[in-house]
Amino acid sequence: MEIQKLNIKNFGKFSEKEIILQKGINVIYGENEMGKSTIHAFLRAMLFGMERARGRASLTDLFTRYQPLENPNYYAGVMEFQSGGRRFLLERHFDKYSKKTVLTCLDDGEQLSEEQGDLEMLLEGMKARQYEDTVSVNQTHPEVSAQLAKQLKDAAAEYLSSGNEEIHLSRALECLEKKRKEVEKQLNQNMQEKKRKREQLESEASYIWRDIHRLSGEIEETKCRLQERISEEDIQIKDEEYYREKLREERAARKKWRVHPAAIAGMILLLLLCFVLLHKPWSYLWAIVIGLACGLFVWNRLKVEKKKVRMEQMNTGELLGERKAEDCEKLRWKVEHLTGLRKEKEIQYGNIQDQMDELDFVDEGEKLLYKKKAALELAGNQIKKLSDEMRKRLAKQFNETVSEIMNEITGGAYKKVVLDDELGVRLWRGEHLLMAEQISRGTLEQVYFALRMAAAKFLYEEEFPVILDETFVYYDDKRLGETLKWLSKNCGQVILFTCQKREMEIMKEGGISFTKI
Amino acid sequence: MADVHLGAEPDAGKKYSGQRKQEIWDSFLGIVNVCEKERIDFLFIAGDLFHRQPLMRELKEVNYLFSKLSYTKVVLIAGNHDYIKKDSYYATFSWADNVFPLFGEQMQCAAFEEYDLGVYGFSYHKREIRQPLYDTAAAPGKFRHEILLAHGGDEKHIPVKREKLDALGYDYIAMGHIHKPQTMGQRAAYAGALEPIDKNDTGQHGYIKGLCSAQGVRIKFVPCAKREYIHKKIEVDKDMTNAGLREKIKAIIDECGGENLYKLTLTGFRGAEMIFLPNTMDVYGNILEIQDETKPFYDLERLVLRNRDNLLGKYIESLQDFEEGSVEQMALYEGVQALMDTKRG
Repeated sequence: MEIQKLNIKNFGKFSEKEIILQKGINVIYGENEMGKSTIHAFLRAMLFGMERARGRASLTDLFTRYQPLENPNYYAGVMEFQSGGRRFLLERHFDKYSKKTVLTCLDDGEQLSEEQGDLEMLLEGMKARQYEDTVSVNQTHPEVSAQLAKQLKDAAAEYLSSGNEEIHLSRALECLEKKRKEVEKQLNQNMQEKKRKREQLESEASYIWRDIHRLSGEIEETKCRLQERISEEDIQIKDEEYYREKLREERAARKKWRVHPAAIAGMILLLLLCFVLLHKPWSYLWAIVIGLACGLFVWNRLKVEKKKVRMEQMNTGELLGERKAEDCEKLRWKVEHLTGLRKEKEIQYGNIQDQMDELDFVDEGEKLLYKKKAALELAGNQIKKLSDEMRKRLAKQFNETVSEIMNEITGGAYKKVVLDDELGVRLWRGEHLLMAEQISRGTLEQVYFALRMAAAKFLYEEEFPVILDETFVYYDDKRLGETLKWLSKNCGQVILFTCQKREMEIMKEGGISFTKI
Repeated sequence: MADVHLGAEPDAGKKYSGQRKQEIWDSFLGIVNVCEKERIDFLFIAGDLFHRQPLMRELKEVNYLFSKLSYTKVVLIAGNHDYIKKDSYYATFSWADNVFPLFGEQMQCAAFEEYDLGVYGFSYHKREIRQPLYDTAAAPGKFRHEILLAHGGDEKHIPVKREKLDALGYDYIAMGHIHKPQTMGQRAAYAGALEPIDKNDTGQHGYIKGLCSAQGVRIKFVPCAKREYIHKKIEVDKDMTNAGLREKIKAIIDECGGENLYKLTLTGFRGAEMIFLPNTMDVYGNILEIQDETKPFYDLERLVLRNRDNLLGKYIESLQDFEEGSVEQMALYEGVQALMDTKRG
């Protein structure tokens, strides 16, 4: 960026004043109260606008300070500058009634809008704060603010610009982390699913296990009962044998006399009596009647006895024994049946165990997820590692740039500057490493000058004009000469405000070209 | 036939899951019917008839079907899935007269004098057998025709060397365990799983029909599986959208058959901003899995050129030279996408 013309319409003590600026070093020389600071403030106001402070502070802010005494409602200026090979006209009105900013491209007449950040873009996002920390070097504040350190750090971490495409490191890492969490969630879900399946199988297995136990119990019980029955039967068989023996004896005894002999004798006697007492033919008739009655009695007697024996046999348990034998068979069958059932269950149980073992296999989908997780982790780590490396390298590079400038402007007295993360300064002088407190005011100012110049180069692609407001008061002639030489060599445009002729004389002596305004 | 895996429940997609277990039984029944209809002499089952230890009711079921065969004699061995565990029903089950199980741990023979045929084989009594037992199991030469039933062929299940099989001297070796049907030399073949059991059992499945004559054994593979698992790679380009992809998938399924089950892998480069939603692609309910292996479309070379000095360029360079499909390559694309998606301006 190169400022070509300042047209102070009405600002501070100036009205309708035009200043033409050239490439290279412009010296704005003037005695005290000539308005150098006003021009400096005007430059800042043109570039960054002028915001009013609030409340009581507004009484002493820059706005109030440079408000024109005459015609205070006309408070404006115009600046012509060149940036990126194009020429622009910037017009600003600061007063509250007609406050506006107009940015026009002089090459094609295009109206640009400040609200949409066109000016900010031309300034590469430089804010007033950073302007004061880098290219605008004020005699009263040569140090840089703590913010520059932070900004440099950020820039180092994200010094990744390529045209308009700027990489946002932390957001990229966040994005990867988010993806990784998603993958992890999916893996977790898979695990839950497996766990659910496993639990289901386990509960199934436990049911089967319970069945197996129940069946085992039943089998044991049935076996016991069977055993009992078998021994009971043994006893019963003995009992039965004893009883049968008895019965047989009884039967044997009874077999001879199924009809009692006395009854038979009585019947014969009755028949004989019939023949003795009665006369023929009545005796025949009675004999037939009595004979029939006796026959009937005997037959009946035999039938009853037979039935009785069978009844006895039944009662003494022959049939009962049979039934019991049948029971044992049933029990045996039951044991067998239950054992079969149990075996079936046991095989089922074994199969479920196998199935559970198979759950542990990792399938392809899962493998892919694991791979993705690993890839995302690797991507994050790699980006972190590379950005760390770059940051370190850039920090080193920055350090070197500062050292180089310092080396040049001190004529080799200080070859190396050491900067820490917070831009704390230490200096190597020969063999000694000096702290900032151990360095003279002039040298310290020179270190900060070097730091500002390096930072400006580091942070912005576009070269901004360097504005020096009475910067060199503490510089000795030699270092001032070196510094001016460095400026003319390395900076496109320098605007130097001074109330001394020293700088111009040194430049004349040193053959450094400059424009006096 | 081999590897029927009765009792298995293979993945079958939304629509057919739950049905698949029965389909395996149906297919098995189909084979039994074929034997009856075509008056086949022998049905050889080279292991893994059951997916796990058979239950009594399952054995009864199978035995009933076998017992109904009027012409066919069944010879079977147990494989690594239905290996003969202690207390296995296999050990005690009494089979129908026409079933000849070779359940010994040592080589056994089922002799069929009327055919002058000996069928040899042994069964698994544990889950794994790492010794190459078949390498030394030469045909004894007691019969005119000799057939071996073999199960195995990978590292943990009786490793088999293809070139050694022919030298064993059998007329034919009916092999099981590897689910993909294939011949092994001149006189041996895997019938493959009757129905595909795992989603990686792609291609046709069925059984092998063979004719043994004086001229040797001629075999023919007969596909009969009800469904096939089909793996397809779908190449996407940077203009592919979800709707477009869905249509493409639909077209592929229409072409290859709606009864089949699909595992799809998306490859190629998707538009950098595109996110595919695999869950919305299962139009027919027969997609088991969609793996998204697409990479976002970035012109890496140009990116490197334009970003030589910054993080992006350095990042690409640091992960550029890894092989296709590696974790590093995946990381490369994930990282580039994260950096590009979050960049300013």
